[in-house]
Amino acid sequence: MNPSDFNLNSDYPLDKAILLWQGTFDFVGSELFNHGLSYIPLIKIVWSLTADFAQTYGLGNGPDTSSPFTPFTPQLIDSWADSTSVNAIFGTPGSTPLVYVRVYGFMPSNINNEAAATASSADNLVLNTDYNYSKLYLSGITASSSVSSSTETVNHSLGYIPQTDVWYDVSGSIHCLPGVVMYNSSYQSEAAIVSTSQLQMLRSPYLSSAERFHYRIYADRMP
Amino acid sequence: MTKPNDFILNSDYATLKNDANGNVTVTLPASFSISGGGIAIYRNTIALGSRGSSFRAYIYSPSTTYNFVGEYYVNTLLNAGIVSGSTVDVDIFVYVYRSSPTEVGLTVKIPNAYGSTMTLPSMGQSFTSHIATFLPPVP
Repeated sequence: MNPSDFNLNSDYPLDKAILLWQGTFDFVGSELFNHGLSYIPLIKIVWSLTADFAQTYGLGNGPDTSSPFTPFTPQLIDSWADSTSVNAIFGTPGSTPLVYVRVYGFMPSNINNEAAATASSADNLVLNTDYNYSKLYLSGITASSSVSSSTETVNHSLGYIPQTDVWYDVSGSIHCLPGVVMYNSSYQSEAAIVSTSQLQMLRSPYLSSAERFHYRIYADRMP
Repeated sequence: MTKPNDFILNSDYATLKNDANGNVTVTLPASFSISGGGIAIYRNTIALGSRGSSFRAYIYSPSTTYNFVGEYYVNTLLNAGIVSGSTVDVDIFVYVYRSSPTEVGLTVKIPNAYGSTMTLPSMGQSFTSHIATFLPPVP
């Protein structure tokens, strides 16, 4: 049985968002909101210049500019959760007064707490067989290490490239992994590489404290 | 309240509805020039997902043979450009974003911060993003 052939499969948990937030951010400070949880959630963030989210951006990018010195204006540089709040840092806001932000979050794999319901009104179906639901195949937290550029490897052995989410956890904050920054193909940031058999997570080459990774590997294939 | 991690499915909690998936590729010309103070932008979009949908994305380049998890790839190529007869380093920005309510775009952007034209004689690279989109769980 291939779990990716199913919209839902009771052998594999569905994602359950324990945190939902939508609001605006005016680039003052870094706190988006106080999450009120007793643990640090794994967050995902989407943002837009307009309230209707017609165009959306993620981590590391933003609207294009014509300047070679500031490729994006604004640019979401980092997003993370700590013990009290969910945060974001934007660079080069230019004349943009504020941005519209959506955040959702999951419970880390080492937490099994009660959580308030996040499902919306009865008119919006939480489960709908018109859609596929990502089926969580493997999740966990890697070992912690302060060795710069060291690697953590998780073998998923699915034989295809699965959907994956990765966060890096350092200095009391859990950050969304935006992608990768390289110089002459040498890593300058954390990175995660997924293959048909493994997920490799690379620590920053500039570590100043211990770092670990949270990962969620789904049975669903990436195209 | 319940413990969501005790359940396979639980209708008390919003979840992610995977509404589409696809690939988009951008291939750079083998050689091209960028005017001084300009930016070269190469972009392709595909119809994928719906308004406000978030996504999981990988960025793949045959030059690295890796699928990088994330929406953002930046690399500095040493001595890949020529300005006024001298070789210079070239920054490449590759990123995924929702370009419209119905389209997702992959953009490769190369800035020329120098005051003169930069020629890039050997740039026939391609980048592919694998993308799965999700209806926003935020109502």
